Amino acid sequence: MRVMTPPIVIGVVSVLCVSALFVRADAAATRVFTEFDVPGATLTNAQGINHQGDIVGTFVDVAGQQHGFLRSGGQYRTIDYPNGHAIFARGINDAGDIVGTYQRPGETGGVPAHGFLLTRRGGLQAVDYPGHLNTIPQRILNDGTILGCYHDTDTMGTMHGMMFQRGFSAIDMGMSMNNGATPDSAYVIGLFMDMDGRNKAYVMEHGRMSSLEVPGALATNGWDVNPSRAVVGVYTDAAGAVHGFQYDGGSFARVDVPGATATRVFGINDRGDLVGAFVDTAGRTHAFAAEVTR
Amino acid sequence: MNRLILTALLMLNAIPVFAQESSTVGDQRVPVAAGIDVRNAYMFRGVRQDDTGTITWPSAEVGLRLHAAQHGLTSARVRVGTFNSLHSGWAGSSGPSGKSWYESDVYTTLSLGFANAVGLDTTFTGYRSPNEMFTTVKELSFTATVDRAVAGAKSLAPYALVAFELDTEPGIGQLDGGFKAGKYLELGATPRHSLRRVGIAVPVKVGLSIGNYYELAGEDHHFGFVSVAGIATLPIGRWINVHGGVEVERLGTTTKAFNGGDASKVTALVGVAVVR
Repeated sequence: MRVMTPPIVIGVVSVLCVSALFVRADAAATRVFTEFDVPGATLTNAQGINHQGDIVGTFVDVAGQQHGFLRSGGQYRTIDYPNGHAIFARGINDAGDIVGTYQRPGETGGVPAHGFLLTRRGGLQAVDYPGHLNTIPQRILNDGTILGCYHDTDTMGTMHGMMFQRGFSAIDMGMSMNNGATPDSAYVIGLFMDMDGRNKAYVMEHGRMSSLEVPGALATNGWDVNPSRAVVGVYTDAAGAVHGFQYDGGSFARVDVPGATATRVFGINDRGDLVGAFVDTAGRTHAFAAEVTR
Repeated sequence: MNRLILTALLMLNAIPVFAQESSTVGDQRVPVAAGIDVRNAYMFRGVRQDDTGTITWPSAEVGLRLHAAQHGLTSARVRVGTFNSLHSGWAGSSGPSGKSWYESDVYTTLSLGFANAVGLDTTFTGYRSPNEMFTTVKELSFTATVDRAVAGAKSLAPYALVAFELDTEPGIGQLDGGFKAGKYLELGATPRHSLRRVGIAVPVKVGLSIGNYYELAGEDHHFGFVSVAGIATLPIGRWINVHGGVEVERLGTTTKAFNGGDASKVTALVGVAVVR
């Protein structure tokens, strides 16, 4: 286990990062949105997508139980963890290996979370950061690198971005979470809470960190990045509305599912296809995929 | 010559092809074979298992001759063996499991030999993962082999293998982790020759899905891989040999995706085998 120390204080850098950026509203123009729900689900939330379009996420069944799901070629597979509940499939790589979280018997609320790896061939492994109570693996790369966070008593000060790559390592900064990386792990993105009390995205290139914030946003969270360094995530605008975004290195583009009251983008693949969740006018949460027109 | 075939198969394949050859061991009443190889990557029928760290393959097989004759059915044998794969990289001790014993297979084969040098093997294999990196695969396979010298010491040893995954569920008990049980066809040959004391083999094979063996995003892609290798074997003593070689594979759509988007794979290996 090793601890990485960011050489730059995030709060200082953030102003420099966003000064020349603006938000475009045309991200949806190049994509075809597909809304979907796991059959019978009362809530569906997509979290990750791989090259071939396999999508993972979570859903709530009619009994109120939360399961993970894999959507592959239009077919669904339920993902559960033995003796676990509140299953959340979060990331999938091109080989079909899936990472996610579950809660143990008796655990409730938003803090307890234990990680798992479900290999393409059905092998199940626990992913627990040594010495800490909770682990959230959010993403798995094609080489098996796992990104996410560990935390103990809360998801604030005890939460640290982590990586598993022939052993665990973590960022020496509280209230942080690694959520994605390029295939070589040289460019890592995530979310953290800055010293001004706002949630912001960060990018970390070869260990050098800088923040990323949608201009005018109350909060910005980075959730994934693809090999072309397109960063996606969620932000809250000045009016309190929730949108998805894509950052291409020079500007932000807003991502909204047509007709939705809130849109959250959680995953992007190497083709630029997006996945996430949106809330409809009736207040129900559905999953969506936004495929780049080719 | 049969020892050279065995060596080549030990080096290039996990248990299936090792088990498929009807002529892998000599004419002993109780033939035995064992080997240990070290390699940089483990590809099984084009599907990447691991290409990090060091991979070590201990294996062993014992047979029993049931029948021998000059005409018709010339031989009948039962063979039982085990194949194991130990990993220091992601699939093993440095990965999420923290344990090196990635694979442990057990197989049993009924080998029938016929007077025209045709062999027919029927094999049941259980592919298990002691470190729980995959769920157990149960497979029934049939292999037809022709092992006939074509020009002096040269032989081509062509074969055809058909395998069926049994007792599967979506994502369980399948090489591709797909929704349906797979059916697999492999066509290959092991041209070989001897140069002084060194045996040279050039195994060539192509792996094809004949039913859901290479599923990807709900679609079965028929072409899995094509492979060619060069293997040199040097006998040391009557029953022992050392060997080494290189295998180059070209992958299909599904196997490329499983290989992180790379369409090819090169594997180097060295090992030692005992065949009696």
